[in-house]
Amino acid sequence: MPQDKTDTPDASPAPALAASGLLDGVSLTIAPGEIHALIGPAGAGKSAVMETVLSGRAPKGASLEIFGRRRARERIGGMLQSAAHDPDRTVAATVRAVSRLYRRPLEIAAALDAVGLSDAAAARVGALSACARRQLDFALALVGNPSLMILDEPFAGLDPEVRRRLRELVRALGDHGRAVLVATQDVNGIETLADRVTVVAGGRMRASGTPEALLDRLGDSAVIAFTLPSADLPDHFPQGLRPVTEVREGRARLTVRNPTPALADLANWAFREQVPLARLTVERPRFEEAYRSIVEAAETEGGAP
Amino acid sequence: MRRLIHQTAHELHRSMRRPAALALELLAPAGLLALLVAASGAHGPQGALLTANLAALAMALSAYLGGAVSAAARREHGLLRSYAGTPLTPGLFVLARLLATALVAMLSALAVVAAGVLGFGAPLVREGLAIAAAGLVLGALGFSALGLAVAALAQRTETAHAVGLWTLIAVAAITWGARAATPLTPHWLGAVAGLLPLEPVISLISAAFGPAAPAASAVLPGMPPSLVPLAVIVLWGLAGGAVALSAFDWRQRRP
Repeated sequence: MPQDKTDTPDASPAPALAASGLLDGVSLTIAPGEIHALIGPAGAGKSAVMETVLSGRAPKGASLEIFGRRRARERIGGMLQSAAHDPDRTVAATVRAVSRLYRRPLEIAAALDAVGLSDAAAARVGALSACARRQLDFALALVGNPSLMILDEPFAGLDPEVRRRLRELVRALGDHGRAVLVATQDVNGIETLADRVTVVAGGRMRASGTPEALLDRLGDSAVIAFTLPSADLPDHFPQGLRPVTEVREGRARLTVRNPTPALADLANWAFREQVPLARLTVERPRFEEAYRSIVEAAETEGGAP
Repeated sequence: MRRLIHQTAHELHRSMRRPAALALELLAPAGLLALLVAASGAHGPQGALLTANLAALAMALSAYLGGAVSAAARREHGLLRSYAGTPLTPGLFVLARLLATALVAMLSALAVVAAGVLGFGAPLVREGLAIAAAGLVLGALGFSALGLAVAALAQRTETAHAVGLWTLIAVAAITWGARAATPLTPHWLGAVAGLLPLEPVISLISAAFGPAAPAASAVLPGMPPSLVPLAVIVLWGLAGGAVALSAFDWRQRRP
């Protein structure tokens, strides 16, 4: 996390972002220091929300306030998916041009160092890899030393090491009092990154809360897993368990709302048919399962494929 | 204001970073003037008329056509999208771009005037310099505003280029048709030319070389001759600026 004299948590009592009526019922309230993930499948409307927030202009019937004000662009740093940069300019010159738009920007070197681009400061943007261009996008969002960062798919197209670094940076920004809104369709590990999550699908908000709260929506659901003796489910596998079972690489995974009767059925079948339940595990569902169930419910409701 | 200055400087730097392209933009109209003077033998006062016409055309090409295509192309290639996450608003960008484009366009017109005066004996008249300077400044700002309005409204670079090019050709044809009027030329052509933005700029720049006879003076009789073209170009600039400021966005317009 880059440090400078302005690197202090925001003491403002107003939310970093308070938006309502974006898309169809998408409301967001983000506190200073909060990392808020806006997740959903491709085409869900995430980018539209991000662009609206970045524009600072609420559509008709919606409201949008940043730190309690309708216009506070000075306090925002943004990273969009499809921004391009002049390929002939150097990385440092590109960052400097943006830093000059802010009153209290970070040092160029500090912004580049934070995203791991120090070595490329003198390189021309046109010579950067796709991953390095995303790092540059991140540096541009960061260099203004904003109190609220709006990041649209910040981890897409990154090398694993860079991805880890930028995730840690996002977490550090939150720890230093910055509010961060991250839009992503990659929910892997989002529960360890985000303080709160909003799920959008089909242009509507489907759920919002802490990752733990969204997991709680699954109630006592559990994932029962075991290794099959063959590649596929045997013919005599209980019919009642088939709809909740998926087989991947020789391992069966049953996602069930009530694990006790499912375990009983499975144990009875295994005992009766003399099938070993090798490497049997019973676990709480991961966040991905909660997310998938919300999106699938939205697709069923909306008639989406 | 600080952001406007920074962004204007940035836009100017962008416009001037390729010396070969800049030199071509500034010197090509002066070269064309040299060719025309050589071909027609128009020295002195006749050279002055040619100089004023080419200076205005150079300005219009640079500010209007160049400004429209450049802004539309940068937007189409996504180069403006990174501003969406910064304090720079589209309106502030339009103002910065307008100032930078107008400055380059003024330099282009000044290069033609300098070539006309120094190379081909076009006589400068001290009394007309202030009016000519006002024409240069307001003309460059006006054409830049109109170019940015085209960029704001066009969905694609090709559209901006086609609209910019053909409207400029049409305006130039009417203007020069009115200026080269014969007894068969319809009377209204002069009035129409006076209401378009090119004729006022030619009239005002011509004032540097002697008493101007702007066609626009026929449109609003009773007003001092130099105020009419000034008013016309200011109105065009304000209209273009209003459209550009209200319609320009970082994203391409959707059909």
